[in-house]
Amino acid sequence: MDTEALAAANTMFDFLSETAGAKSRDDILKPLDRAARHFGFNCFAISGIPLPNERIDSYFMLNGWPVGWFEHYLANNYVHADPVIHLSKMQDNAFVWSEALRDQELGRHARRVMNEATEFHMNDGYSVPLHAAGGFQAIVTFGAEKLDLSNAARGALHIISIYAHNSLRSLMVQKASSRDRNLLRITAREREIIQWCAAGKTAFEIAEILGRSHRTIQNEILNIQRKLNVVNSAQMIAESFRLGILR
Amino acid sequence: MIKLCIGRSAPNRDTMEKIWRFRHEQFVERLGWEAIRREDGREIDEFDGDRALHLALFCEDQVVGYSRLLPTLEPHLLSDVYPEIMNGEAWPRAPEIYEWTRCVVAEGEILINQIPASQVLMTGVMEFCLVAGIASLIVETHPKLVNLLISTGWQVTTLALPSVRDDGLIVPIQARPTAYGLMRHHRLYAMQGSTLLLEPEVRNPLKPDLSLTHLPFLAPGRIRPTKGRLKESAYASN
Repeated sequence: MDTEALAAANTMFDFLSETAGAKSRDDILKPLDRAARHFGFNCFAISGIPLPNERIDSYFMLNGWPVGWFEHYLANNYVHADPVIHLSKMQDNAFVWSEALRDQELGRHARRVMNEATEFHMNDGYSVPLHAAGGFQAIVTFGAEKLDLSNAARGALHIISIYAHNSLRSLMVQKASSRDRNLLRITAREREIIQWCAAGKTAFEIAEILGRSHRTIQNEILNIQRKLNVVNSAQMIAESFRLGILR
Repeated sequence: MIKLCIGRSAPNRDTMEKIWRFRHEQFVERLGWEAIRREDGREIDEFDGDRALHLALFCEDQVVGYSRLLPTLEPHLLSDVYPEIMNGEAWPRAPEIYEWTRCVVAEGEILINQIPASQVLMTGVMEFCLVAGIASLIVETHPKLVNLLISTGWQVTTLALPSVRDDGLIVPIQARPTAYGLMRHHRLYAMQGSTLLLEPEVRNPLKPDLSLTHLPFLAPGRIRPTKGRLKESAYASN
């Protein structure tokens, strides 16, 4: 490995270890900023890609764009004219804007988006399209004044983007499920019973383990199922995993 | 449903024959991997040894999907075909670590109990790992599949920088299955039940004194759609 590739690998592994236990957006934002700067970028953003009739606002996940550009982009609803977004929907390889758009005939609106971006020092960029299970699409995008990206740098950024996006997603899901979980008020005892059910124990066996009557445990299980709005113990376990009651 | 065959065992001769032919149809005739083309139309290589695990997805009596798991303590692709993608670093090898290769699903909108075959196969590989006690899989694949594995609930550790090869980018990763991840597959694909057809005579390849049993926390019965529940969105809204 040459020194440049080695440095790219180190930047990637640093990012992965720094964000492994991320608890907040900031825990991802700062390491991502460091990695982006290492590869010569001055800004970045992570967003879901909205459907043709939707705005991008609620899809935005992490914003490291110049403030003025972010506001301008949203105010003009540029997402549906942006050729980088368009390309991301069509393919799943990461790309450098100038290389991918070189042979494309850009329309008036698309040219306008790209020209105005240069006013915010985004003359070129690198974008990683992400297609998740269920047909949802997202993009991690980096902007720079001038780009000279080696294969090692491209590979490192591709992996960094995948992890940054998935960490953000799981933070958002965790937040939502802990909100649901708090509303449910599952007790420590109930959690223990769910854990035994997940280990394949019957109500009768759980009663023996916990030194309670069979009927008490049966009632507790019915109570949990009512709280979780499910009708059998397989659904109860699936829902408990979803809510983070089981890990 | 997914059936396990170990090595080239005689009792499975018919199934193995279908597997070799399916692999040839898919990898050589459909995907054009000319280097492994064989006159007899059976795709078999030097890694298909006695301890290779073959997971074959059946639709009635036809193979429609397949994955191979190779023990990492024996020769496998990362050790013998392209070790250079590790840039000289070691990778995890242990009795409970396997290498996942030759993953493929036949073309067309094939449904298994109303569920797309690709979803059954992907779910089945994780379910099988949990059933057999496989702690992790080593996979050498394109970054887009790394994204798929992470977003469907595998715990993925990247082992090296992606490398450029003739057929595109390839990156070695270690993917750990978890019960949480399996339930995530079930929610994303709105499915319940088991993907595996566990034949009582097939022993656990990691612990030959044990047979394979279904996970206690899955709904009993074969894989099928969940009723009356929406799929989980892969993107939580802000």
